[in-house]
Amino acid sequence: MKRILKNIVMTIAIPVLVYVFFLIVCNLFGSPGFGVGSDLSTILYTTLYTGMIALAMSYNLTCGRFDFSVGSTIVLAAILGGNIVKDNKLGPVALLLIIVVIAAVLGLISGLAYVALKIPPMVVSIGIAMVYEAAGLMFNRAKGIKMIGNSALIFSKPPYSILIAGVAVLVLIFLYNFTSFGFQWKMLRSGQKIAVDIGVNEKLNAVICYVIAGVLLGIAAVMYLSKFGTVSPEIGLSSSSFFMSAFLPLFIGGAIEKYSDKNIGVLMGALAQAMITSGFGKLGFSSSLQTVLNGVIVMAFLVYTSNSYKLVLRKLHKEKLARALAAAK
Amino acid sequence: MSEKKSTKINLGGIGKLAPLIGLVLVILIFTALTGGKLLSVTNLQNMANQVMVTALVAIGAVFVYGVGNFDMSLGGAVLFSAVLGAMAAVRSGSIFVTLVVCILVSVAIALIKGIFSAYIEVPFFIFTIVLGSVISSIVLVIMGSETTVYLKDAVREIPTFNFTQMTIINVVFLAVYFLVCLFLFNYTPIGSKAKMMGGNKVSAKQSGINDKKMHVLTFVISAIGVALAAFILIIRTRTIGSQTAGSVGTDVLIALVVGGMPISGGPKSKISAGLVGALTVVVLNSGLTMVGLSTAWIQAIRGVVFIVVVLVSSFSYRGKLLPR
Amino acid sequence: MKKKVLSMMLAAAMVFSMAACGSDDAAGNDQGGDTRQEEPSGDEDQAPADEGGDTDIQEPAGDETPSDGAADITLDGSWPEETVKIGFVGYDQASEQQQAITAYFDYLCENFNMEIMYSEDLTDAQSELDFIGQCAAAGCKAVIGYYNEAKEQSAITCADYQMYYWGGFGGDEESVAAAVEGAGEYYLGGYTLGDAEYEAGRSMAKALAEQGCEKVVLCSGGAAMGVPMFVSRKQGFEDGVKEAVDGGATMEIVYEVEGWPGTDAFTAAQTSVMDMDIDAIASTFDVAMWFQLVMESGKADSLKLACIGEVSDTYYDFFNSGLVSVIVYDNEETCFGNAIPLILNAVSGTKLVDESGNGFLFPVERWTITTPEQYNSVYDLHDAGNWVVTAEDIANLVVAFNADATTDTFKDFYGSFTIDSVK
Repeated sequence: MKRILKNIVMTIAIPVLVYVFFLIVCNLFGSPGFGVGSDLSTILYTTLYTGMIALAMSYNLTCGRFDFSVGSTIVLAAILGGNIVKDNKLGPVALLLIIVVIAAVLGLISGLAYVALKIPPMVVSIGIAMVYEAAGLMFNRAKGIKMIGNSALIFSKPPYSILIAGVAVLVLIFLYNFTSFGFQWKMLRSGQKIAVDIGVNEKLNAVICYVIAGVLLGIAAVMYLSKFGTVSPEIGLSSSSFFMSAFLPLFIGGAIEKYSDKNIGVLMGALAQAMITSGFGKLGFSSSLQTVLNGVIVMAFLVYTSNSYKLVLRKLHKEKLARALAAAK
Repeated sequence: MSEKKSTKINLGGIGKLAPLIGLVLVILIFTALTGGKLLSVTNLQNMANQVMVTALVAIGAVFVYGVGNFDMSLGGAVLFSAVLGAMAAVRSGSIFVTLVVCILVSVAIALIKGIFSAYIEVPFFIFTIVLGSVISSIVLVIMGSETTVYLKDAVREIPTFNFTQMTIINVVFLAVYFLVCLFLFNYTPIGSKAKMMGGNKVSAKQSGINDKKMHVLTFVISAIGVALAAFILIIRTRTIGSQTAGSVGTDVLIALVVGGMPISGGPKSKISAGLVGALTVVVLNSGLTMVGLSTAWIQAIRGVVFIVVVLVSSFSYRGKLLPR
Repeated sequence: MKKKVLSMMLAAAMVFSMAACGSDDAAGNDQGGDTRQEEPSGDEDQAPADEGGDTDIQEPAGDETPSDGAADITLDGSWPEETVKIGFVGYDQASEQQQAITAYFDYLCENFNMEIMYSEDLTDAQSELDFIGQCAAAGCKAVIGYYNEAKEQSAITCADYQMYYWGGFGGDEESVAAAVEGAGEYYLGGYTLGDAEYEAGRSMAKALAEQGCEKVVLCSGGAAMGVPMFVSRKQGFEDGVKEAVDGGATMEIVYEVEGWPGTDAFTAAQTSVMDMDIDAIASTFDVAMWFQLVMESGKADSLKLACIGEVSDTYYDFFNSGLVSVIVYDNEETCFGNAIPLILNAVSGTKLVDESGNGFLFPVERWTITTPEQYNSVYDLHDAGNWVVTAEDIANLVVAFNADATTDTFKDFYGSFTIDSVK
């Protein structure tokens, strides 16, 4: 019982602390009411949208596969799928399905390219990202997709946004905790060579990860398109700006994973990130200052997560020393 | 069986030579497609100018990547030292002061990276992605409303160099830096230590290599390349803005990979990767633009060529596990 | 064995990518062919446009053409004899302005023997100068400086390669003087709208003030990133608001949204704007990313949107419904198309120069569109395949076609267009 309580507390601790921090700071600096009204709807949207991207990246990044094509997959799926829906005057369900399927196929292509070519993922995904960006630019004569006011765009707001994100996360929790895919994934993450030696099909596992990532990016693309009604093509790897805000959720997710579940951890991270963004905006920080502060926070988290084991070691060492001293007496 | 073996050797051989073959192929293809214009005197001079920034940064980066540090903040480093260098140029009117400031700034950034990599032990790749975006934001804060620094506003006039002079300066800078790096990497303990660390951190440490010192040292060597690149940018364009060197980060990465640099560093690292890769990228860009393709096609082809060259060079170090 | 297959695939990939280059080339030619076939119908379309559109200038010149004996040159893309290759320094292909310019140049390339080589999206001075070098190597005769970061350095570099350079450096007279001095005969000049970007921002503020907007949100784009054109536009807008206030209007900028769409910070700022008590949103770039939000918030009737943008499909519905009420529009034909007669004259040996024999800055009008009628006049003209400035108009400004063409006729022609002259 105590353990469950501790887990729950630790899981929600970071978002709650961030919320309290901004509530106090915003009140002190004369912009009260943090986290209500439009703030709340922004926070919800950003949490789910960034959360989807961060979750997509989490399945690959934690296995040492950095995927540069994340942004370009979102852009290309939105442009291709959006135009199909617009031209054929289809409804919201079709919008969701078509974009998600396209994104899943794009993910599949990324995954297959990686396992077939056996080139470091970082490198192959740069090549893939260039090709996807180019495809987005070629399609529709560089006009991207503009479907403002289209009745299919319902997925940026509750209940639909929560519904699709919720279903996605539930499926992920199931896949991660109760299927052989999940077990094998964990094995591969902690020891690639051992896992392969005992017969885990690493290639299959990796491809599945890319497809999952594709589906999640498709959902993010649908949310983005629903929010703005328009997506422009990106070129010159500028689509990488789409995943810049996913780092903090990833690290927070990694840090609190042990208290609940990787997927929930990442979502909590996304929630914290969304509140930080909203809070900075409310305090009126300039965009360059926001980038600097965000970067510093991510770096601080990086330093903490990559050094926290040293603290544990030191603690163990102390205990051992104490035991040894006690024994010596 | 024997057939299998010979194929393996052949492919390995191709793998090692792939970057050079790639370069030659790219040159041949585009010379044909442009009707020889690619290799006209004008364009050779052009390409000599264009290759500079990428090559200087990429050559130095071989040390950093060789140790196993995947640095994504090189573009940001060039930007930062170019901006401060240009500001110094405007305020001092001295080309010498400009060079010194460029070097100081980029070495300072190198030390920061060294500290984080050697002592704080963060996941370096992600750290540098974040660092890159932080640096460009800091540049904006520093520049404030100035936005663009023009050398013509300098207190004393800074000499302009015409096309031929610029080419000579470029070639001299590049040749000297390349030779020094080549010497350091191949004929001094620095190079062999770096390769050992990239190959196997633990055994390198156990064999008595001071890894912390090596981390910092490799960053400083690479910082000199960054500083020279920034300096060349300043005197060539005479205009430094907040977007300067925006594509350098990815260009360098692509150049290194195309040049045959193993992404995880180690014993197969070689200085020539920086130069060969930068040349390939410049010839490819120049050729594709001159053929008159649209941007989308240029980028799509670049992406495919990139993957193909990497694929071929990876023949020499493929294992059972998927690479990470 | 596996590796053999792989190497085969690799070879195939190489061949394929080469074939892709080749076939794309071919496709490009095909396109050229297609458009050429369409051309006669295009010409038919132009005839009525000429009657209606720009009568003042067209008629006298039309009278003179035959008497000069230059009438035997037809506008079928066969003149000049040698193809004039022109480099185009671009900034963002996904931007509507660059797309509009590209469409216009495509049309002109059917009528004159020209070929335009577009740059990739350039972001800094170095890549700009690199591209100019590539233009020279590809055999370009001239470069159009649509995007210019390196200022006069671009013109001087062009002169090093013996290429002409067109560009007004955003009306920066100091740079023009430096370009004249450094590039000499190779500097053609360019248009000016005063301090172009600054004035664009200012016009937008003025137009909103005239429409009675009091509480305005400014969306300042790259100003926070130090991109010069956006810094100037923002400055212009702020000064425009100040002038309006000095002139007795009640107007203030209540909030500023920085940066580009696509980031969480931008989204957060946008959403909070929807909660504010405002009556206008002014954007120093395009404004399309606000439509969906405004419509969902139900404020489409009480809000006015203003932007620096294009006459295009994007805004058609929203301008006619009254949601967008101001578009500061740099018309592609009058602002950028003037590069073509200058270049064609220069390459055929009759460069247009000012009194001192140099390239020159000339004023054009900026169009501030504030009514649906104005918007539709331009939209319908373009939609019907016609242009404000036709190939015939341009031919009239080229000495090889019209021996009476002078710098003054050129200046008068391009200086004369206002939004109301489009019918």
